[in-house]
Amino acid sequence: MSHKPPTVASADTDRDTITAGEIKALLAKGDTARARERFEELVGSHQRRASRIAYHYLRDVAEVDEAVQDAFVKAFVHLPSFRQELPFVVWFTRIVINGCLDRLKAQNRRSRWMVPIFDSGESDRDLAERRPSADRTPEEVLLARERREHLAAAIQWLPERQRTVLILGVFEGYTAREISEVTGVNESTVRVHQFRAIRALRKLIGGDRWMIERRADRTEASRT
Amino acid sequence: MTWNLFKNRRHLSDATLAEWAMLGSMDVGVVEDGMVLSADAAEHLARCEPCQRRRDELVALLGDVKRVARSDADAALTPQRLASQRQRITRRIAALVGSAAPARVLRFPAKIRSVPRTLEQHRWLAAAMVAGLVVGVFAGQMLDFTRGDGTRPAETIVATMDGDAFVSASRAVALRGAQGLLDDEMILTEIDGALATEYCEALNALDALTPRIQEVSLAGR
Ligand SMILES: [Zn+2]
Repeated sequence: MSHKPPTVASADTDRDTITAGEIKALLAKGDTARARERFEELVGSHQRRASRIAYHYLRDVAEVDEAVQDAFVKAFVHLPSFRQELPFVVWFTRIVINGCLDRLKAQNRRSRWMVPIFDSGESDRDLAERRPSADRTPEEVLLARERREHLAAAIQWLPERQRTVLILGVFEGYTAREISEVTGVNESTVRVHQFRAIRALRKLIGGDRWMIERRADRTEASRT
Repeated sequence: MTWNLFKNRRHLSDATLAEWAMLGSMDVGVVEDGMVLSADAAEHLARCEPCQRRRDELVALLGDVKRVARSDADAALTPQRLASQRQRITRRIAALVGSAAPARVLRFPAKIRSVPRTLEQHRWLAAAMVAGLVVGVFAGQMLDFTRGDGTRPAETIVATMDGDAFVSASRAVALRGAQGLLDDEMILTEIDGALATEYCEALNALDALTPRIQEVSLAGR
């Protein structure tokens, strides 16, 4: 049996790399209208993943929205410098992550100098989550929510590199080689960060307890 | 051979198991180029039940963590939100390359209806204009008096504080007031930069002892 290890690169992402090359050629010819049209294809295939990655860093949908918009605009502007040796997904992920890290730095600066405004109103999502449905008891809803918040808090605790490796490697299925290309950190260092991230995460979420709670959390289990 | 048997008897390290776990359900016999996983480790894992169990537990944990993280993100990123995000991306790129749909232009009425004015209305209008002028001049004078206590124009602050550690921060703040060009982000960057200078060591020590606004407000919650 010769399975390939799980990887974010696929036939689709290979096609996107070719598309990006074609858009680059269109831009060089000055055919911006067509380039813009073709770029829509790339937006379509990378928007969700980019938003998810940004969400794991920022955890604020408005910030995520802006970060992802900025990333696509930046990608379009910098497409003339895109080299096709690198898969488009790797190049674009780098743009997304750099944007998120810049935003986090800005948030930290702001939180040092400004009074945080506590929003007393609950979001639509909060309200929707609180509402028990026919197949979810209030306890299950609460447990599912607690687990999500617990995990999110654990992720925020990790050092920046471990967090990146975890988000890309565990949540999104990038290989160590792909993470190395995204971050510019060599592959063996990525593996070390990966192991440390897993070990730290296990400790932070309390691995055994987490799995016990999983059994009680029907909502999560039923999503598989 | 004897050495190999001895080596394979040692259980796999957590790091090696984490590596295997990252490969998910991949076959134990597969060793990819450049991976830290050796054929020995694969052989050990194929035969050692405790290591298989440890690996399976880790795979389950990571699988569950991934599922929770993804469902969290998916619940926040609704299809409507993504659709409107996509529209905004399209619009921004269109604006960038100059092919944005032309903004809707409000048409002026073909003919402005003239309002007949009597001599009486003209007199009221002239009186109101004179009154406005007088109030304006008076208010200007009052502002000039109050400037003695530090609310001087931006340029003056920059000039008098030059050579001081705070100059870049105060300049950023002053210029903001004067020009309205710098955004909050640039100002905070400048303040951070100014505080990093050697002149501020003493103040930084004091700063470290000062509770942050956020800490205070969080403690008060
Ligand atoms: Zn073993």
